[in-house]
Amino acid sequence: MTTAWQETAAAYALDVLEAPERAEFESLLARSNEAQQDVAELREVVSLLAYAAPPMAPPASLRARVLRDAEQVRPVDSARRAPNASIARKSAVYLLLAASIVGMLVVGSGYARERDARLGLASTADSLRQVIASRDVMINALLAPEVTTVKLSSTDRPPSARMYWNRTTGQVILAAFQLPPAPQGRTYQLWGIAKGGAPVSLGTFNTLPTGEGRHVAVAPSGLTISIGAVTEEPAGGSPQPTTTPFLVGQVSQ
Amino acid sequence: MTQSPTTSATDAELLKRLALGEERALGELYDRHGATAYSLARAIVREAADAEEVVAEAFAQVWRTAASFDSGRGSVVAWVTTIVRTRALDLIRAQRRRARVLDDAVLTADDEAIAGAPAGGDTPDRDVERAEARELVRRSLADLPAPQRRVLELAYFGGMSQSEIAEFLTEPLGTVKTRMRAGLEKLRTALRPIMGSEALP
Repeated sequence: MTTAWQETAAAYALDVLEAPERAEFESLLARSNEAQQDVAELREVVSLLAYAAPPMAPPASLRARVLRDAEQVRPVDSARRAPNASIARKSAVYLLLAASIVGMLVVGSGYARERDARLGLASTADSLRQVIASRDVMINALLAPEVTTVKLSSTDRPPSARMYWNRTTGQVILAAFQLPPAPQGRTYQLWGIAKGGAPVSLGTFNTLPTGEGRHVAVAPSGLTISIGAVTEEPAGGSPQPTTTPFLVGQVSQ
Repeated sequence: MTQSPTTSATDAELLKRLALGEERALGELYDRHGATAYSLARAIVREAADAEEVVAEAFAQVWRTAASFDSGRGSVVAWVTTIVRTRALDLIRAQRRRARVLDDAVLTADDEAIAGAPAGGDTPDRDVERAEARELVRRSLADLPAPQRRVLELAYFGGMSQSEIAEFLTEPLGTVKTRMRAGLEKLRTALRPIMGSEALP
């Protein structure tokens, strides 16, 4: 005979619990060792279900794509190790366009907004412990004294985004708001632009159906970001922007 | 797929190299688990192009966040497949394909499927271990009573909540909840021999 919480634990382990129920169950989970043990075991069972998918051979091009994407963005911890990214060719028209939009922007930062962004991060991760681990990384990145906050927008209306850039480590965190997921076959791409330089890719990202998105990247060392911009690109991203940026913000020096 | 001379490294060791920015480690990780990730993505999103997008984004996330991986909470493959599944479900939810019918053939390989387990790129021992685990998972799921199996498939591959499944199957919510729990418990018993293995999802 199963109890109600055990049935809820099954849905929780399968990650199909709806938000209000999930919050309720997580508060029970925090108090009950028995429930924690149960969920840990059920999660392991659930993770094994990946092997129940019919085996399919991925196209050979996918491996190259995975490695190509990796060349554009480095992992969070490798900021000081990787060599400079090669600076791509200049794109003067693009820069002029970006600069003209920046002129209309209110650029600002504030502790309260950083705090809101940190709290918002918790809702997007896969599981409790993963949330905690990645949130620690983000909080540490956000709280460093050398972090600059940049508001990215195109008008005073949504969508908007906030970019946090650690000048020392190169860590970049983007929080997007009220931005619907990119259409099928498309993705969003973040760019960092140095004064007089061409846009440098800071990776691709997408948002949740709620319109919220989080993106973590590391800028190539030596890149002094003057402007942050977001474009919509074909899936997999582009070496240089192929569309007009719809979110732009200037870094206050 | 390329066979690397350093295939004796465990997944956890690979991930440490990856966190330091070694792109070759990402290639090795992909050679081991790319096919598992792609098969899972295909089972959820169906379209080949969507599945490729999901796998590419998932490996990009693995690459960016390798430093936050905690080996204390499960294997590397489990972490990777969880990311793949989360992204694939986000995609189908966004596409509002939630109510689409998952036909009974969801677990029947179609003509695009390849025979047996996807190629590994790991040591032969670990490849064999994985192939056996795969077989045990498929058999255990097939052995479940059909109503329990169906509820688990709709939740795992369809990302449907208990109430959505109840509506979809026109069954009482309580029945769906009971079947979901009972199905997972039976699987837990059946899969006990391979639980806790580092190399498995």
